[in-house]
Amino acid sequence: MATSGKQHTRLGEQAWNKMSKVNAEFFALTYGAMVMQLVQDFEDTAAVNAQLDTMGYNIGVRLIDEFLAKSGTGACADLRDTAETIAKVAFKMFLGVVAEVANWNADGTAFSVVLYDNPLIEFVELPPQHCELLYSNVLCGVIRGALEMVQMKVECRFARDVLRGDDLNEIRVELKEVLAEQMDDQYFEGM
Amino acid sequence: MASAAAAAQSAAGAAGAPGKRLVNDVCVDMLLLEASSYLLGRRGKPGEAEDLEAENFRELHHSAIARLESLGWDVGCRLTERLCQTKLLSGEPLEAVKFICKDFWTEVFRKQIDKLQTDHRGTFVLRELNFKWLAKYAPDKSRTDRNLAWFTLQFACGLVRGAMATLNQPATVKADFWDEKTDRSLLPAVSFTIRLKQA
Repeated sequence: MATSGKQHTRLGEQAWNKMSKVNAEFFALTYGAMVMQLVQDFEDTAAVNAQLDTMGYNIGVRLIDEFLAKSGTGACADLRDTAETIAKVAFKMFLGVVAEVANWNADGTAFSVVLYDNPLIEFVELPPQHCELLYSNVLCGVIRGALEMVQMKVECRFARDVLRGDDLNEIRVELKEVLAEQMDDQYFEGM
Repeated sequence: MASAAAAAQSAAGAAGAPGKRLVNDVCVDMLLLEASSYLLGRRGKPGEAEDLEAENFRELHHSAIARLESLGWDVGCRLTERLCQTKLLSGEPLEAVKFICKDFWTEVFRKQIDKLQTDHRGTFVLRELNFKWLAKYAPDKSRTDRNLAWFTLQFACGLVRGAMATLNQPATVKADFWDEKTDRSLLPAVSFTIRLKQA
């Protein structure tokens, strides 16, 4: 496992080095402005959290193409491989930070992505009236959307959040179902 | 104190770009796209995508346009405040505009703006020859693309207006990529027109 972990880290570094990049402060401020807009639009914090998740999902289903095209990773062998790829390659390639995989459940169908350094929250403090806000919930949506495009239905939620007083950010990912590979007739004709 | 800051900066510099944290360009692209479709979708009824190609797009979506612009304004203000912590400006309008062309633009686009013109009476025209947020719409495409590109551009107008306001130079900002004379798109080139508000 250790060697494969290293390999993921290396792939992540390589992908990151190839990318065209932008100042993370600007990105964090833009994200913050968008979240503030949502907070103004919806009265209910739960609705804001859901909207952030939906927006993340929409991003995820598009982002997976970029990831598959430019990350240099192949198909994942199993869920452990997938988890390492998300944490070490995808987070590095897009946000420039490496996450860790932790807390596998006994039957190996759920894991946590632990993010020590979250570029989204650089300037953020949650005011008391918004303490239920899952500020970075967009990340859950992105993971869910991206994995759905590679036939994995997962549930994602923020289990721990630095903004809510936890010592680190933890996104819990639970595999619900592996969707059957759907092939169109045209693929068979070509074979 | 100063040496500690310098040491921290050189450590960060060794790790990558000098002293600045970075993220993938795609993150900003995706965020803007998602914010745009949220703002556009919210006012119209669902499934009303055809109104994106409407000729009167700007009237139909005036409130979404204003909201996106004010999102940009907010970011422009905050970013300028941060940048100005280490920089002193004299208060001349031209200096504020130059600050936007150089420091501010470099912060957001990692390049300076390509051309600055002024009539010395409070109007400034900034030309950006390769505006990367709109590169995917270039050049002449459908009316929907033209409308969406123009819509996205309003975020950038807000950025510039917010930066000007923070520098104590209230102004109006317009941007376009349409050449009226030839009736053609100039994308990926874009020009911004800043007009100072008369005090």
